[in-house]
Formats: sequence, C-alpha cells, structure tokens
Amino acid sequence: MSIFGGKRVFGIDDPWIIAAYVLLFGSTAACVIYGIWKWNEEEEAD
Amino acid sequence: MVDTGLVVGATIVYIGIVVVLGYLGWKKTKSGKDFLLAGQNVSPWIIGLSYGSTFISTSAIVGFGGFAGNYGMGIIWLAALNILVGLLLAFVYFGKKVRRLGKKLKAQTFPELLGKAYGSRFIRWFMAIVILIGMPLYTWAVLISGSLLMSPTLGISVNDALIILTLITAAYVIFGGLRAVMYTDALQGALMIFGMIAIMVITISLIGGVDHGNQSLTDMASLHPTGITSTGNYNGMNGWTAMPAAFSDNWIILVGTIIIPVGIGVLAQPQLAVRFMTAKDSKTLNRSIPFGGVFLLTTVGFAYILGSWTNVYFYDKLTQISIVAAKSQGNIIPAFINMAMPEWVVVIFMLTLVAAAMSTLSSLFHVMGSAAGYDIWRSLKMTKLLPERMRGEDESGKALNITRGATLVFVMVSFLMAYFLPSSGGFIPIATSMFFGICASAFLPLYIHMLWSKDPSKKAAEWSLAVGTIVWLFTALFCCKTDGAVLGICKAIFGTDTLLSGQLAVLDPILYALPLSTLTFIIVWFYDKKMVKAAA
Repeated sequence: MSIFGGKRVFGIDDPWIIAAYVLLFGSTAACVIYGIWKWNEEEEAD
Repeated sequence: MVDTGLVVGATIVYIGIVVVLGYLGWKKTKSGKDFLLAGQNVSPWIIGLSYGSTFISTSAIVGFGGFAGNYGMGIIWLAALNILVGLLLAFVYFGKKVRRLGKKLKAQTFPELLGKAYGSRFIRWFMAIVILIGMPLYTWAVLISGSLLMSPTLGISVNDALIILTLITAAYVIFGGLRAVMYTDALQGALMIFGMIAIMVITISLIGGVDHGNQSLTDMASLHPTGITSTGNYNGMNGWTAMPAAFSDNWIILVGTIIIPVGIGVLAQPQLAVRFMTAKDSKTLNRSIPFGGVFLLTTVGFAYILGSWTNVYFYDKLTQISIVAAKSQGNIIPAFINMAMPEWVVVIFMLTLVAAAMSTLSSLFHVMGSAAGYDIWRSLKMTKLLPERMRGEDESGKALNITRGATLVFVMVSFLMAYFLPSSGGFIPIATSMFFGICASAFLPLYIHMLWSKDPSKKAAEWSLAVGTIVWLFTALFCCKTDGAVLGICKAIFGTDTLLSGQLAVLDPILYALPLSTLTFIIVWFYDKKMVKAAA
C-alpha cells in the first residue's frame, strides 16, 4: 500500500510508521520548546 | 576482536569516575532526607538525565532494539510514547503536582506520599510490599543483562561480572543514597547520549543515508520471515517498515504487550516518581524536560530505528537478514556493533550498556531499601504491632543507617536471585515489562485520583490497589503465556504456561488488571460518596 499519491516518505509507505517517526521527533521538539518556553516561569499557586 | 587493553583501560577509567561521584554523594549525605531525596536541590540537567537513564535500561536498548531488527519499525511507537507520555506528560501534569504535594505532606518516598495523601497506612505498606515483591524480578533482569554484556567483553565469567556490577553499584547507593545515584546517573546518561549518537551517525553513513536505508528496507519486505519459526512468530508481518496487520498475533504482541504496558506503565514507576520530589521548584522540573527528551530520542529512538536498519547492513555484507546473521534477537544489536563499528565505538557501546544497567540498577536498589527500611520498618515502629521497647522515632543518624541496612539486604536478595536463577537473556524484556505492568495496574488509578481530587477517597484507593495487584498477579501467573513461562508456577501446578488459549493467552496482564482496578476505583468512589451524603 502506498500513500501520498503513491510516493514514499523517506523510503517508507506505511502511514502508521510515518506517524510514529513524526510523533517521535515531534515529541522531542515539544520537550525542548516547552522547557525553553517555561525556563523562567515561577511557581504556580496551589 | 577489540583490543583487550583498550576495553580494560576504558572500563577502569569509567569505574574510577563512578567511584569519585559516589564519594561526592556520600560526603553530602548527612540525613535521611539527603539519602531519600538528595536534599531536594538537584540541578535540572541532572534530574532530566537521571530520569531518562533510570527509565532506560540495557534491555530497552539491546532487547527492544533487537526486537526492531526482528520485527521492524512498529516499535518506534513505544519510543514516541516514552517521550510524550513517559516524559512530557509525566513532568508537566504529574511531576509538578507530585513535587508540591510531597513538600506539603513532607513525604520522602512514593508509598509515603500516597499513604499520607489518603491518610491510609494500609496503602503505604501495601505499596511497599508490591515494590518488594515485584522489583527484585526487574532488578534480576537488569543485573543479568549487564553481566551478560560485561562477561565476553572483559573476558570474565558471567558470575564474576555479576559480582563486580553488584559491588560497585551497591557501594555508591548504600553510602551515597539518592545523591550518588543521581550524580552517577547523569554521567551514565551523558555517556549513553554520546555513544548512541556516534553509532547512529556511522550507521546512517553505512546504509547510504536515511532515505536510501529506509527505501532498501521497504524493498526487502519479501525477505521477512512468515509464519511461526524457531526465531519468532511472524504472523501478520508486512516487512520491517510497516505495522503488522491489525489484530494479527504480531499486532497484539506489539501493541498489547509492549507499547501499551511499557508506554503507560512508566507513569506509576516509584523509582521515577521520586525524581519529581528531588526538585527544588517547578522551574527546575520545566528546565529538566529538554534534557530528558533529547536523552530518550538518542537512546531508545535511535536504538529502535537502527535496530531495523541492521537488516540493510547485514544483507549488504552477508546476504542475510539480521535475525539469521545474529542467530538470536537479543544478539542483533551487539553483533551489528561488533561487525560494523570501529573499535573505539565498540568500547563506548559496551560502556554505554554497562552505564544503562548501573543507572537503572542503582535506582532500584535505592527504592527497595527505602520501601523496606523507611516505609515498612520505620512506619511499623510507630504502631502497636511491635513490642513497646522497639517502638518510637529513631534519631536521624540511626534512621539513615536503618535505610542503608535495608538497601543492603535487598541488594543481596537481588544478587542471590541473579546468581542462582537461570540467566536466560530472553526473559529480560519480559521481566522489565512485568514490573511496569504491576505498578501501573496497582498504583495508577489512585495515583491519578490523588493528584486531581480535592477530596481523595481512601476506600476507593484501598480497594483499587488490592484488586489491581491481585488481578495482575493472577493473570501473570496463570493467563499470560510469556509471563507464565518466566514465573513457572502455572507449569508447576498445571503442566502448562497458561490456562488460556489463542490470542487471549498473548494479552499482557495489564490489559485485564488496569481496567479492573480503574473500574473498582470508580464504583467504590461513587458508593463512598453516596454513603457520605446519606450520613450527612
């Protein structure tokens, strides 16, 4: 089975595996962005 | 063959640095709070790396990396969940609340936190007992995996490797407490990042780039084994760059016994939850998230991707797929490293794996010692269950020594298990996922409720904890084929590893126990609220 008009993305054509790659690198990017964004955020109130 | 002098020299330097960091931890450990929570002033980068390196043991890299080599890239979902759920969600939604609540209740361990939050001594003791029953199995798996790796590289027997690994790790945990554990974790985490990046860069160049490597692997789909063979069950497989067919045997194994139990189970791991309580403030936890994220991507993320790519390399060099070239799933990553990598990378990789084993092991020793010495023994002394002369609060120094003594006892239990039980590498990932499973099944509903409810229900928490533990134990012992084979009790009684058949026998115990413990919680909680309302 091929998606994206029959083209492979980075040599892979199963959308579930492509989604896993996207989630893997996307989650890491989210961790880095969140950490930098909240770097100086003070304590939240209870 | 790697030069023995290089291996021994690098190992000595590594162990020397670990000993120095352990000494620094010992120098700063003066009280029980220092031993249990590292003084609650640990740097963000140390918390991030320590959380990651405790989470990721050798079995995650070699065991699940080998799984990727055998079954393909579907396991990347686990790495993605590790980062998204096990790190980001855990720190942002659990970590900050745990830290604040821990400070407010003056709790120093995970069982004490939940016990105090619910006002229940039963919860504290029961959780400590679950830890003391389940954790030695996980510790045994980590000890064995570290020893099996050290033995051939250093040219010593597995038992000698086991003794060295236990002695060094136990020494810095017992004397330096959590501070030494986290200092050494940070060193080990940094080493793991460096080693895995080096291996990834060289692998990408060996397979001709990411695009070309994936393309080649996709084109090799017809070479993937089918049916059930001596190296595995390949029913439902569609090649290495595709998920198994939905609800096939392999899909159920991948999703039901690996991705869900390990992906969710991480949230209720006592050795990880305690890391949140070491932070001075929420800012420290926020700052530690990027370090943990990068660590998890470069260790498990890279291991699962390159595990699959090993097929391209082995086919190019030997015209064999990885499982044939390496002869067993557990040997795929080591065989690839030994054949494809330069000598210095082989040495770094060996140290990376020893570091991965030691960092997880040290935290497990520490949590078992805390559960026995602090949560059970010291808490027991406050009750009338002991003779009067034994009751009462210990002085700070004595309390510290009791926790140290309890740690030593559980180090010895784990060592004896590893020394006398069979050391099969195949059991390592199973034992790992078993501990994640029992923690999630027993602890997760009450852990979540504690953090988000303004009026936590003690009755619901106690019932849910008991039901989750009992159902998990029953299904692991008698229903799940893979867990049953490790525990051996079903076979001893009924002559078979499972009382179920077909795909039901493949399901992980967490899939029975977690929904039931959650359901129990909800039912008792509503009943409890109704009773309180009626009484009012």
